[in-house]
Amino acid sequence: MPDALLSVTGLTAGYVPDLPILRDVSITVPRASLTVIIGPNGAGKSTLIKVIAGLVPVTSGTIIFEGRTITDLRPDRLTSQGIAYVPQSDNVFKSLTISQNLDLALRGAGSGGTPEPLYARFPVLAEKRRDRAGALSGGQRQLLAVAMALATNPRLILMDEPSAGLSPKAADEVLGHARALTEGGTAILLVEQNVKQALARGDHAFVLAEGQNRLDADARTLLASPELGQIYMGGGHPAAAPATEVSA
Amino acid sequence: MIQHLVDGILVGSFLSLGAIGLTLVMHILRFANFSHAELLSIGAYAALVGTRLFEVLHPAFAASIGPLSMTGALVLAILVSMSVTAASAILFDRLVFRRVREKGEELSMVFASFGMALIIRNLIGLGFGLHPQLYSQDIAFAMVLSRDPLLLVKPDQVFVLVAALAIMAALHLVLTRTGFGFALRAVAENPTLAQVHGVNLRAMIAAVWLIGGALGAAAGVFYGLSYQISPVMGRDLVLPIFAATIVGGIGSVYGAVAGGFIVGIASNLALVVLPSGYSPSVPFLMILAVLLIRPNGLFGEARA
Repeated sequence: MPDALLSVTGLTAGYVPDLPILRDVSITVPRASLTVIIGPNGAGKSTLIKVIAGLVPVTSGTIIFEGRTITDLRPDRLTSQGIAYVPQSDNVFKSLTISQNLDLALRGAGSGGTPEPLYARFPVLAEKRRDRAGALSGGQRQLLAVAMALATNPRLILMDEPSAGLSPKAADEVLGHARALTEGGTAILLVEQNVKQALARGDHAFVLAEGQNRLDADARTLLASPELGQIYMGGGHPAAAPATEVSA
Repeated sequence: MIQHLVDGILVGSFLSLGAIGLTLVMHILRFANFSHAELLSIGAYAALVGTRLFEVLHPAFAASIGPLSMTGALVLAILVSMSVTAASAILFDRLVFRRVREKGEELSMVFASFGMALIIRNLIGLGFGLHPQLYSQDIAFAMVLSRDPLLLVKPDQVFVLVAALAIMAALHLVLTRTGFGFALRAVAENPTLAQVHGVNLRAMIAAVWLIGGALGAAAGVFYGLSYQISPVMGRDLVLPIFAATIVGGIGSVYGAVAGGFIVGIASNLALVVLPSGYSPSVPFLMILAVLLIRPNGLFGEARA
């Protein structure tokens, strides 16, 4: 792909060297696109995102972002490279106020920006800026996490199951924000259990199973494909559950 | 009774300084550091060496300041000692704790800290001798604050209290008003998230040891000014400092301050009803009581 923003090639990685969770995984994320990673539980989806973020060591393979090799990047250098990471849970500092959370994220950017554009985009956060983040609802917390990711004006946001544990309405809102961001020029790599909603909004999708590439296709084509059901229902993965409605 | 209260407040001032460093290290690095009190010993002895050096450098430094028994040399030596002790704490982390930490075994960290405590304590004994020493041979006369009830306070003790409170106030400003303070709180709550938002974890860990070492050094010197310094002072202080940390709640700087004063005052007031031989048991009883009634301490928050 000529305009690939991120390309991961032949990635083998895991928390301990002799126990790889991902084996020979390759994905690409084009600029300003919403790329979705789906797969049964234990497929290594979240691990893939953590490897890109520098939180899980790489055994072999390369990660290239905007032409630079970022394999084994130190996690605190991520934002300065133009990448933001939104973890699945515990993705805001609960003991700090909303404005302190955003200040911290802005400082990480080193740009000395102001939080005002973020408050304008997420008015609900502006209303509660003096409240502790721990007092927010699940959906509001995800919005704060996304706002913190945006503080650094990243070209790529890695999102790990942003809709997990949210009501269908809140999940829809968060995924809607993700889609809107790509229209503003930011690329998103999204891991989701909420397969139908994610594919409906995504551009391209990669299916992982048992730590390996299984399939990649246009998101909406995949949504209509019978293969999707097979991967979740059978496919030699005894523990695989139909994850489509899990987070509803 | 009031004399015991006053003495307790003074003991509390250096216990608090020790407990602040311990609570930060325990919160950020998640292990019970039994060698923390040895930083107080290092600080106390570094100040002793510093004092003697400054006294030789210029005779004016050897003169006592006003009513204090302490000299200008000691004031300068405290600053040097804080730097030396902070540097030692960072060095111990590089040499020992970081290696154990990277293996990821929490219990090994605790045992390593026991080992470090023994090594440091005995090295100090080897270098300086086992006998207790004083910063100044001058006898400090106590000021009589009141005759009935009799209330005596040494000028040095007033200095210790004022200096300890000033250091705590400075730390409070750093933690609540600076980006560094927020980053530190962020690391304490969620190190991974702090990292992906650009906080350099290694630098923050070094900063925590730096604060712990510098405050520990001040506490050690203040202890030495109030009593005397000896290689086993760390052994005598480790329990009250842990008690202060646990009473206040691990991770809470304000808890550590409150815990230090509570333990200091309680230990001294206990002298009213208990024979003095039993006073080392008071911190134990306080740990027990807090763990039974409020397991997270007075200011601590439950955490996973």
